[in-house]
Amino acid sequence: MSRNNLYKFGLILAISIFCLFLSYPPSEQINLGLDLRGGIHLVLDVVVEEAVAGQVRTDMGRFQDLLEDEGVVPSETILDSDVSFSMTFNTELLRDQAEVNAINYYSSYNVNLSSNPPTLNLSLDPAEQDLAKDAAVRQALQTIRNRIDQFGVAEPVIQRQGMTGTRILVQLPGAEDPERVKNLLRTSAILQFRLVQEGPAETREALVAAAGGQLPPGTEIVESIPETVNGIEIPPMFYLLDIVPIVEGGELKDARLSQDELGLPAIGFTLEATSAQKFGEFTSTNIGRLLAIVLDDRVQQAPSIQARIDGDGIISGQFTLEEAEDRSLMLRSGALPASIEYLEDRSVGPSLGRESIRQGVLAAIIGMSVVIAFMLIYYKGAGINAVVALALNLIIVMGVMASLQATLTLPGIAGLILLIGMSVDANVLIFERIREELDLGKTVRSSIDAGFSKAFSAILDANLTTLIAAAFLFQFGTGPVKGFAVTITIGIVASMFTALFVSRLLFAIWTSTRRQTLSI
Amino acid sequence: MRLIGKTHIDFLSRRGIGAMVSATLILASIASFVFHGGLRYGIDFAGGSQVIVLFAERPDLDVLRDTLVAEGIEDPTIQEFVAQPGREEVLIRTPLKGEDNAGLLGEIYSALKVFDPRQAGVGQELDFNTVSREVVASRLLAVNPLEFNIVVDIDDARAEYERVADLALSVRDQAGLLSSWDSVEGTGIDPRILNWMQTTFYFGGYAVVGQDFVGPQVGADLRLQTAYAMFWALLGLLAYITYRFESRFGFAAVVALVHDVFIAVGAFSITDREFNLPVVAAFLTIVGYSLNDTVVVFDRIRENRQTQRRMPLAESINLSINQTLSRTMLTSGTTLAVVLSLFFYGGPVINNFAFALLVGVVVGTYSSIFVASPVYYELAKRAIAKKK
Repeated sequence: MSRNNLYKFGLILAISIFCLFLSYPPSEQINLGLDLRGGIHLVLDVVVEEAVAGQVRTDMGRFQDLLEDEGVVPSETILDSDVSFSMTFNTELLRDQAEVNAINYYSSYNVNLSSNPPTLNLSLDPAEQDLAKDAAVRQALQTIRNRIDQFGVAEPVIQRQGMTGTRILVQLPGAEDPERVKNLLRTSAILQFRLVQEGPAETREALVAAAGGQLPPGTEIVESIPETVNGIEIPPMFYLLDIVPIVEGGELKDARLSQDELGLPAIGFTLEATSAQKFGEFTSTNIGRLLAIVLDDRVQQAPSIQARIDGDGIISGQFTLEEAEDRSLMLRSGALPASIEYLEDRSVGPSLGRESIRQGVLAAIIGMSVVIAFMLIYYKGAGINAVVALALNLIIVMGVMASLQATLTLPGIAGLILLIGMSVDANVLIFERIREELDLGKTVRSSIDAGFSKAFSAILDANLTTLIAAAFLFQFGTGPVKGFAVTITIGIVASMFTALFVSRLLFAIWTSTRRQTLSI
Repeated sequence: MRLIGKTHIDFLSRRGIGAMVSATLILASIASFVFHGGLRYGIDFAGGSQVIVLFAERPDLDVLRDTLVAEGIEDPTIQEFVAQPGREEVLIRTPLKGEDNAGLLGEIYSALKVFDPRQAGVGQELDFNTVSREVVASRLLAVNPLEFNIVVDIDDARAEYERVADLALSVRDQAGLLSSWDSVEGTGIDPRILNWMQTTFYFGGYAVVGQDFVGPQVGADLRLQTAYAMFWALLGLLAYITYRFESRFGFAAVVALVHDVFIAVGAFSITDREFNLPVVAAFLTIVGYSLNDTVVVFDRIRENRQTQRRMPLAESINLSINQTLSRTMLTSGTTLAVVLSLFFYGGPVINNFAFALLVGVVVGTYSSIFVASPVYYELAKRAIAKKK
């Protein structure tokens, strides 16, 4: 063997060993897709309009409180739409005072005045709406990330789809029980402590009557959760609550699984220091009144305030152990700013994935045996050459996939199998060309040289076209299809390398032993 | 060894036969398309929900359908997915219904519970085959068979019970479905826990091993994306061939590609197979493969036209096809071998994908000889006549 060939041989050997090293053992080094490994794939959409509407509603309540503190009391306050609200005043003077406040403190709103009756209209600026929507998606992303972190899934994928999109992709390899995960992610977990103005009452009408036939400004009616006591279902009660909460879920320092005085599962919580102080002051001045604990727009419980409450407390209310655990997890990880909808749910159990791998490997072994047998019978000595190239090809593909952390999916396995059949093409093109040259009566060495050089353009063009198709596949595909594009792409590049470089070298080594015949 | 020696087949003068075959196949595709009212879209494109259910015993599909309908599931499609002893898988699919689709999967789950022929024994309230790790762990914590001092060692107890729940259910998940405690016993779980498990759980007769839900928006987006991907891929390939060869080669190659994809889509319509996302991937691969085949022939034509300038066009094309014929047969043969292996042994999940490849390999090989080359011949002949 010439020195040059020896170097090349060493290089190829080094590449193969390196690739083997990278991809061994495959079960640990090759990243399996969800379809093979099992897991949960969700695409969810944040209903951002809700977040905007929620912000407008809170702003309306806060503005109302601000005006009352200033002594500028509107006679009526109504929500006009999801993005605007109006306040009616008894005099134009009051309206103008309110306008000054609106301009000073609520600059994100466009303010409009009208007379007869004197009315102030505030609508959220469209640019501010977009900001609020974007913030809602980012907050939802963060909340979901927190919840999944706490849930404890290894290597989750949580991504926003597109820079400005409202969709979020969640992939949880190895996770089971998709319905529970979906509930965990979907629940808003908005916790509020709100003062009860009236109630509880058995019907909405009774509550309105008790309040004097008309809802006082800054209040709204909220239902309680239906309870079951001794197997008897108690229908929900109605409460009249302040719109603006005393303390909110965002002010929690911690929430955890706890027990109530009966030993039933409950949620224990601790407030942030400043909120704890605010809460302590509030409760000490409102002893004897009812305090509603509202979770996701339902009154969970409404105990009366017995004494000053500082930072700690528990929320009870007929939770199962699992519910209490999940709820405290949600409260710890923050609230969702808006509800979410599931657009896509694709979950694969581990047994289905394992079955797919088994069948894929079986198909690969059968396909590969047929191809190897065929090449050896058809091309005899040169067939060994093609088989070496094929084996090297697979080793390189696995090595590159391992080092790129590319994901192997079921269509990816199919791509590998297809590759076994297609990658001998380059060798076939070369061998057929060599045979043609030999038929013309050329020597072995010059036939080989001519075979390689003449087949080159066909190999290049044929492989590049397949590469172009694979590139478009990669662009457009989602998970499994992308996996197919990846294996095909790596495989084609590898097969060109093995056919043009490795095969060539093997022929060179063959002829350097001064053999004047070629087994082809 | 040589399959075919030197051949001198006059392919071009038989191009009429080729045209007839192609026309017949394309007409059959169109007819089937009209007759079936388009392709049968899989869940990727049509949306809806779908579960793959593993049964312990072969289920009566008619009874299953009746149960689903009785439980309020509209228009379910039920299909035997795998039917091997020990692995009876059934695919249940339901279409989207109007606006609210969030509960679709849940409805199938509850209907399956009704269908399950295996029922709980006395005191056995939970199905071991469908229960989740969290439920097992929290039940264990509540019952506390290992008698931890819950007040002091709550964290240790929780960790231990979570570990045991995971261990036991991993055994189940690997198998998909269990019918006895043998394999759980084999893990060396504490007998007190095993004893509790045996009295608390029963083995239900089914397990959902895969679930899909695709909302209406996602399906619509995918259909659009697919159309774009196909369009750009064809355009990109046309550009490449035109750049590397000349425009007549490019045009002829794309005619062959469109021909191949048309027939492959037609084959899906005729066999009433489901058209899903991996099938599109297969079609794009067909496009690549068919072009690969065509390019090898065109490369030879280009070479022969340059080296033997006096040779008449038709003769030169025929010579090129004959020279590359054994390569064409060999590569198609090895590719076909692996695709057949994929089709027969690759499993139900990718069966449609393998079918698309199978059709594509056959049609792609045929089209480079009987479509691409004749179209190039006609175009080049006209160009030469014009020059004169």
